[in-house]
Amino acid sequence: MPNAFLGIVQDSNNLALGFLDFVRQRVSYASVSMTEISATLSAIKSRPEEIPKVGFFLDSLGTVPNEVEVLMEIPGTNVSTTYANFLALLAKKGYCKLSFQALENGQVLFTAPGVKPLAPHIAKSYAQFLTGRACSIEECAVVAALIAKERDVFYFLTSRGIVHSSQDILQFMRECVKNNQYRWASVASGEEIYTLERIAATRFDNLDTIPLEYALAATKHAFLRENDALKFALLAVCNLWSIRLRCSSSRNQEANLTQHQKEIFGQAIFDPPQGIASWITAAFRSR
Amino acid sequence: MQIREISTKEREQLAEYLSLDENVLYSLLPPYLAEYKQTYFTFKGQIDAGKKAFAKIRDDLHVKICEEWKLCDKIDDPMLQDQVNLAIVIADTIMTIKTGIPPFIISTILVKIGLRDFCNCPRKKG
Repeated sequence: MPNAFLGIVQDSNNLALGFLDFVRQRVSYASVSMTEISATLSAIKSRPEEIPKVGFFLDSLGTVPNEVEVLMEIPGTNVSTTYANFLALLAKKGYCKLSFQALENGQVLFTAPGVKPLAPHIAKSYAQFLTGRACSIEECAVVAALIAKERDVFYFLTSRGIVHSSQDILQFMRECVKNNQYRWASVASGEEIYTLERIAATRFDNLDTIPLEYALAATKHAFLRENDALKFALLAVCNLWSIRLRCSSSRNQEANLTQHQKEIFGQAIFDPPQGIASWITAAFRSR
Repeated sequence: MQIREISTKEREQLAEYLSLDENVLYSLLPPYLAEYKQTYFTFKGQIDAGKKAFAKIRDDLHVKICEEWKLCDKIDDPMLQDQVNLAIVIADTIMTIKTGIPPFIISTILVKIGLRDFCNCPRKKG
């Protein structure tokens, strides 16, 4: 089980790396402009591993590279040469494996087994959810590393499934009001099961505004794919009404579905009151 | 034209409704309707159910707003060029139609659709 995690995210201008070491409780981050990467790559075409700032950052982590779990936002199946070169650098430094295969159409197929892929901007949205504010790209990279650590958060954020609708949540909450014993509402979609769980802190006031809050949050995240935007709408409602959210995935090979409730319903994706560990937020504040 | 005073909270809520796109607004309707009380939806299904519910009251809305209230005679009033004011006036106009849905949500959908088109108001020349 890895104790160190590397998250890599990109926006239109910069690429950022965030590193979390849970044994030493250490946070590191760096960012480099895409222009700088492109310029470096065109200057030293044969040695992509020499992107100076990134190489220095990776060397400075003082960790065993092949024991680090890597998560990277990947824009799609067709990635730029900058991305490919960046992965080559990671592979060269020992953070992942990389294999290339030339296709007949002149394209190059490459795979990076062990690198967890994440859709673009998910880390940004999740960072904003966790902190309640817009985050810098470096902070998003650190949150990407956090996503790499939290198994079921990763399954939730990469799921192709459709989560509860606002009507589903409302139905669940109304049933909870009617029946004290009513505790769970699960939706199975794609390879995941999403479960809402009533806890002692769950609020039952202003239930009529759930659809509006859900719609507002979905609209706020409309730059994501629709099913991803709905995940953040669900998270927003869970946060406002203090509902625990769990996710379990059939992609999780470790789960023994007959053994333990935690494995059946997954770890809590959102467990109010929830925040980021203080040693991580301290690093955010010190920026 | 006089616009009735509304509370700050109502105004904020209207601004929130107006920030949503038309499709998302339809998703707000089913939770208010008895026929969907025990129904679970996907988000898309909830939008479709909202569209169906809106279609059912469309004729009543048309009569109330376009024929009885004569929207086309009033739509160019400077006060109604503000979307919030327009949504308030339309919400008051349709208050008597029993739908179970808050009038502000319906009036916001109508503002998003475009009331001039909804009532087929003649276009001004020039």
